[in-house]
Amino acid sequence: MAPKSRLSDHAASRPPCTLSTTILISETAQLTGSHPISIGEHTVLHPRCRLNSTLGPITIGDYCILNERVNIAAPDREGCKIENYVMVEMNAVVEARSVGEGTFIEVGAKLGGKCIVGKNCKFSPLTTVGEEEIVEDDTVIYGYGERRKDMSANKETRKKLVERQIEGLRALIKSDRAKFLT
Amino acid sequence: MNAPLFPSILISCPCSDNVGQQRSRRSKTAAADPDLDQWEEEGETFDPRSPRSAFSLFPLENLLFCEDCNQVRCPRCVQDEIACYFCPSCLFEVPSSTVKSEGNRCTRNCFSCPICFAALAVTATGEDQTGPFILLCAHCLWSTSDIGITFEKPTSITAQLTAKLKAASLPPSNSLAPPESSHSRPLSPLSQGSSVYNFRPNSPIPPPAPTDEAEFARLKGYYHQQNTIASSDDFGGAGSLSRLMGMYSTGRRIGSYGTGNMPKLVKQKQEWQEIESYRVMDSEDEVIEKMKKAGFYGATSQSQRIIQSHQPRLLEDVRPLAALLRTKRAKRCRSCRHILVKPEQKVGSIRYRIRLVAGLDHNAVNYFSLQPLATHQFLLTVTNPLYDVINITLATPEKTPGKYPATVYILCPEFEVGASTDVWDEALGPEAKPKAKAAKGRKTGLAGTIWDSGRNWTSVILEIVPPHLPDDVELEEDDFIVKVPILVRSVYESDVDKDDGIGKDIKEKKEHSYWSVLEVGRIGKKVAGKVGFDDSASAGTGVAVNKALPPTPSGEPREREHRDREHRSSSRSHRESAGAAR
Ligand SMILES: [Zn+2]
Ligand SMILES: [Zn+2]
Ligand SMILES: [Zn+2]
Ligand SMILES: [Zn+2]
Repeated sequence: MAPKSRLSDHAASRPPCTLSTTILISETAQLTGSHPISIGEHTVLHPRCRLNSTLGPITIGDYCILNERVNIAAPDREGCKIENYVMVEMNAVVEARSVGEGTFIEVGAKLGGKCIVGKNCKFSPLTTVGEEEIVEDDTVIYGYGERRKDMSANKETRKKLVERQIEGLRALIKSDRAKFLT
Repeated sequence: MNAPLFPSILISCPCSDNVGQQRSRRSKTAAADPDLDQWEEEGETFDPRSPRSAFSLFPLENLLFCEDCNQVRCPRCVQDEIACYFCPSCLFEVPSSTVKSEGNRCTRNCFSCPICFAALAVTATGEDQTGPFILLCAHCLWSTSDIGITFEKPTSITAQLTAKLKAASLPPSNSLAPPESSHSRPLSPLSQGSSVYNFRPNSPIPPPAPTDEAEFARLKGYYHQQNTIASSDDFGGAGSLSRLMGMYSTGRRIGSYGTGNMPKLVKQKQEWQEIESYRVMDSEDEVIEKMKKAGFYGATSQSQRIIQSHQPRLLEDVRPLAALLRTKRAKRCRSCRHILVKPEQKVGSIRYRIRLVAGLDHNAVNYFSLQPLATHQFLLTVTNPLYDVINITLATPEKTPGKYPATVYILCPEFEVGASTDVWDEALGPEAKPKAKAAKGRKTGLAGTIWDSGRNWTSVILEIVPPHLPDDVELEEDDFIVKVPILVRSVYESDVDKDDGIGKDIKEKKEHSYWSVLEVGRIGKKVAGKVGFDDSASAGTGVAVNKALPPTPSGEPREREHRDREHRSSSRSHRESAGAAR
């Protein structure tokens, strides 16, 4: 039998949340910490995705998808800000100061503390970004830390794909927004 | 030779001296020398330290077994045969004639990324899956639109790409892509080289040095022409001789040999020349200027550059890489031409029709050091993949060969190993268990008894007393390793022919023996006051099952996984119980 869920331990210290009415949040997602957490419109939080605001506030934009076992933690009191259309894949760890619009963070990637990530970046599976690093717009990090600039113009297509995926997820994930507001 | 893990088992393939030859035993015994006679009869102890041994010892996974020769076959005494060519990406089989004419790359829609080498996918850029289409790398997001190429339709990308590249007028120094270059061009080093570094053949007349591609096309045309002339030459003899002479003689002499067949060809030397001329290097100023402009992120890395046939320096010049074809290979015994391994012809299948692997179970054990002059006990486990019971006889020299011999003793050198029957037989019901293991002193560690046995495996104890190495002599690394040669001989009875129903009941006695070398461990420093150090059974080492999984229709090694696991866990439990028993 699994050990007692940590969720219940932190039930007392549930953070103040601002959740848009259009979000899709699984009841087994975990919002912990003491600083405020706000989540924008149409954003999806999969089961067992964890947001920890113990050290600072967390702000998440519109049309983001945070997958299973994603771990997002504010690095310090300035908090963590994730802009619109950010996709965070399974097992990824995000401790960034900010993540720009349209960035894809793939399976198991790790964004170190206080790093600043630009727009439309892509982090391939298991790649890492060091602490306080600045990643420019349109950077693709792949393989063993190789980087390249993505010059292609299909950013709008990617956004559309995210929107379509969110539509699909509405049928799959049972949302329990009320649970996190009480 | 020294495996990093001890103990390890290497098996000797006797082919290093006489591949594919039956040893002429008779002629030797006929010699009147009684010593030689005896030597032949008894066989010489295999010396793992002899320099030649390095060439005949192989780990099990490199070995096959030939049923006809009743002999282990190593990579040197099997012959590869290409069964088919196929594209690893679309799994389409490519006929060998196409491989010869079109080259060894897929001519369908299979490309890999020039940046990260992942597979590219045809992706629509328009609304609702309409064109234009691009080849997109899902990993690093590189796409053909980065080099300004899009496709009108999502099929026959190779043809479209060829046409696009042909149309694109690029500066000659780093251009590529003349007609059908990327896929139809053989990747031989001769045709590949970069235009900048290589000496290349040079027609004496035209000063503008031809690009690689032009040169390649010219040579291809030339040799093709030669080929047609050769095949249309009715008079075989004189005409083709003079033509050959013309081809191989130097430029000046050609004229005198020319026949009516080839007046144009002899005008100048057209065939491939290697050293005869050198090439003036192109000015690199332009390239350097471009590289300056492109900067670090605009330049190709070494691996990105050398994988492309035109070796571009700038990322803007890279091209999608057509997928290289792979082969499936059959393997034959060099001695009797019997097929040892034959993959399923179907490309999508990883099954084998025939696969005769030498089977041996081998547990890797962590490195540990041996104490000099202390008795060490190991468990030697023999597993049997055959459907027949086998009788094993192990023989070792009392002292291992070498300058500092270790003493070896196998407590029970003769024993039986049960057949590889259904795994469930062991699990369900005691009557299914082999009789051999009934009672007879299990796990006593007494001489003459086996340690333990199961459905298709038997363990015996091997005792080793490593030598004391002198301190005052300089020793080589090899002297520290205890290597035990073991002659494994197995006898079993099997059905003569399993295929026809008639001979079902006739049993045939088969015998097989080979030398294997067990590298037990490294001799460490002697620890004062710890004399009877005993790591009894800390190594569960499987020696030897000499023969293959019989060729089953599916060819899959049945339950092998399971057996290994079961076997391993059993040897682990030996280790614990052995500690208690001692
Ligand atoms: Zn061999
Ligand atoms: Zn293909
Ligand atoms: Zn790529
Ligand atoms: Zn053979």
